[in-house]
Amino acid sequence: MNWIHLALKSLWNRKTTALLTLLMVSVSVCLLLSVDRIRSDTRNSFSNTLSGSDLLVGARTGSLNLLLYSVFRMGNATNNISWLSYQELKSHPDIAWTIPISLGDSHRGFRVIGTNDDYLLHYQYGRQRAIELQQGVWFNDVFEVVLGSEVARQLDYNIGDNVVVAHGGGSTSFEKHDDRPFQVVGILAPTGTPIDKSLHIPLEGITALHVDWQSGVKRQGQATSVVDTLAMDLRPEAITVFLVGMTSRLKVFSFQRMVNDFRPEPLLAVIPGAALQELWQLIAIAENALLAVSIMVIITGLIGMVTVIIATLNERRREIAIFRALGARRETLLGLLMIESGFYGVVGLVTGYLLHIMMMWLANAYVQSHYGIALTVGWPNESMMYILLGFLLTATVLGILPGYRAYRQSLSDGLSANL
Amino acid sequence: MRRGAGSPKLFMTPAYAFELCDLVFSWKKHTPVTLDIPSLSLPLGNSLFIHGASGSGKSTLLNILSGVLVAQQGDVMLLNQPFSAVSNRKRDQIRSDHLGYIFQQFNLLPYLSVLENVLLPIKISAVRRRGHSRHSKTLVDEAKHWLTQLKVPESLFQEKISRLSVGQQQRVAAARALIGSPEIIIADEPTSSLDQKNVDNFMAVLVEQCSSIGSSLVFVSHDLNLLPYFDASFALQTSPLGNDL
Amino acid sequence: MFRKLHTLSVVTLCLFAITALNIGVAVAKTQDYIPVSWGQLIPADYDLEALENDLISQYESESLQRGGAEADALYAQLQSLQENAPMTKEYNETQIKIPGFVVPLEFDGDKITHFLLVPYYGACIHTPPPPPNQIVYVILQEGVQIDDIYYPVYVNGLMRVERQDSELGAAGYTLYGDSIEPYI
Repeated sequence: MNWIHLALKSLWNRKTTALLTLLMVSVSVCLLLSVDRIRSDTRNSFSNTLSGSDLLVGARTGSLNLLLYSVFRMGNATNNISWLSYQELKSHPDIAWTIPISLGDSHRGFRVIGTNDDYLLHYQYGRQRAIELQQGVWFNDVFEVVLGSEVARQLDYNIGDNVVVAHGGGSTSFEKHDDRPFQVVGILAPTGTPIDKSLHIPLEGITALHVDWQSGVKRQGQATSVVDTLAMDLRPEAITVFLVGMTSRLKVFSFQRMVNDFRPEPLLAVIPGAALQELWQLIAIAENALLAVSIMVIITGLIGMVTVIIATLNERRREIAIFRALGARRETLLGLLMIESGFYGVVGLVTGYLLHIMMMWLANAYVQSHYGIALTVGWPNESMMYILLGFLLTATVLGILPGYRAYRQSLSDGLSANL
Repeated sequence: MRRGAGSPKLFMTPAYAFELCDLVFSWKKHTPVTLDIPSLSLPLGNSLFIHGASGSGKSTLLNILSGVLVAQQGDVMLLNQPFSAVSNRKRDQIRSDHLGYIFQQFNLLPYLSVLENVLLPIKISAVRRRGHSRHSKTLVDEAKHWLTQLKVPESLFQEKISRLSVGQQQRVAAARALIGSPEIIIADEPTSSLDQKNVDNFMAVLVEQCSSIGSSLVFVSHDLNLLPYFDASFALQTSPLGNDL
Repeated sequence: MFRKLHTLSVVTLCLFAITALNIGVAVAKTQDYIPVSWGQLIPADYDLEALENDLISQYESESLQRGGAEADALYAQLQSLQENAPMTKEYNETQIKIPGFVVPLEFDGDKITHFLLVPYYGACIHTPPPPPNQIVYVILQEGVQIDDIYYPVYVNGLMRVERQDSELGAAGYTLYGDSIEPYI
């Protein structure tokens, strides 16, 4: 006797209620899966942004602030590092390489990075992956720019196009460096990091940009021509941050101490990995709160499911009486109802997962372009699998409640005619 | 049934379908007694008509006979085996294997077809599946046989229950009760929702089929006109305080 | 009902067996690691304090208290002394187990794959930082997720005393970690 088949047919007979209950369970599962996925994707996005750098040095500020504005392009620097200090520090024998970076300008909402060839040579992301050029070459001249893949795609730029850089970091600026456009010579391959949304120009380019600028204001009147600008000494006076690779990782602490104690200028050296860990611990509270909420939602969904099953027992009294007349035992009734709640658990899980995939896929376009976080789709991780297994077992076992109630109800109903 | 050591099994046909002895039932302690039957029995193969006014405990008696309820006092023997004294599980099993039941109405599961409804008892009970009056090779054919015996048109076999008239539904219910040849058929006012013409048709075919397989029929009704169909009758007295169920 | 209970108990027993087996294997593994303390990573014959006092005694205390060029020079010399602290080869190519605090260097997703292990929390903040023979560079085969680096851990793995960079770097302690355990 295929009780499963019978239970499912009975359920189909009540399909409106069943589908709504299924929806309730699916949505709660979808929420749990999505919260967990967003959490781990955010972490991955952050930690994949920088790799292989031992220290990050900038003007003295908070370590998280330094990490956020320099690597993740969130927030702003409070001060700069003088060129002289940079030269002095980078000549230290324990240093293998450095990458100087200058921030502060933008183009239509995308950040402009001033740097040099060291960026192409030494910058790594993900698992020690170097950045690559998809088209063209790295800049070789003052007024040349290399675009991140998102910049090129969203603004529809190609090699040879001209780009006007604006002062400051906003989505636009009322002060543009429009007299000195930059030519696109290269476009980088996509990295899935904030690099994609950046424009890269030489440090000399940054200096050249600000030739006519005094105290943050463009000098009125005749602007210095491009030719004259190129004839000037364009060595930078300051940079914003620089990344450091040591010859030995064991020397990290002593160099870090040296930078932090540097007399000529107040500086801060930060170990990116440690600062990132600090970031995780900071947002852990929020993450845990979100996870707790989604688990509460699942519990609510399960309670709702049991309530619905119990509520439908009344309209099923005749059906149960027929089963009893045919010889169904207490265990049979329990089993029937556990099949039903188990069905909600299994199918709710599957549809919840499908719903989750759909949601992630739809949200990804928006989240990626606005926050730079790539939402991935895949199997849940190990701990989530255990939670889902627990959910399945709980859903099935909860069927005992209505099952037992059905049995007691059938005892008092008996096989009487007046139902 | 006795088995001597080393001797072949002896199957003794039970003499009685059921026997009640000193049965007393009340729903709760210190409430008026619903049933008080010193003795009642039905010889195998006979039919019994039980009647009484409403509130006289007909439903309760049927519940006790089918093993869903157990009386506080007294003994019930079913097919010569102790019935009230055994476990719930055993009684459920006996009901499944040896008892066919017909309700007053709503006998059938709305989400199964006519044929599927009739097949239920022989799918559930192995004993009934082997029922000694198997007429066909497959279970489906057996179901079809019974539907035909109960004069249900073949065109209705695959239909959903909602398409059937009440009279047709009761016949299908009877087919379901008879399939697998259970020893006892209990009918709880099966004709109360039928019109007069259908009642006679139904009664005739029911009694005929029951006796064809040698089943004992227990029939409850308040319609005394049906008395002639039965071998014996039993009147349930209302308890002195008129206990209303 | 009883059939279900039976299946449930069989499943539970199997889970117990698997867990017990895993614990057994883990216990067996830890017995292969030699516990090492931070003091043991300093060569026995190296007396840092004596050397420091030796340096300080070369200066007059008054000129030091005034600050200025002499104090800076001494500071630089003390620093250099620290940075050239020697390593001991005693645990080279040995499976060891050492407790410490984690300073993450490389992540793979939210798992830490490379980190520095130090004897005290906040090595980044405290002055002076631990000398090179009190830092272990740990590389993990499989990254591990650590929720709170405020708490120390045990690292089990193969210790090597080797150069970090083939050309220039000085030798240092590197631990190829197999596993991490919480320090209780």
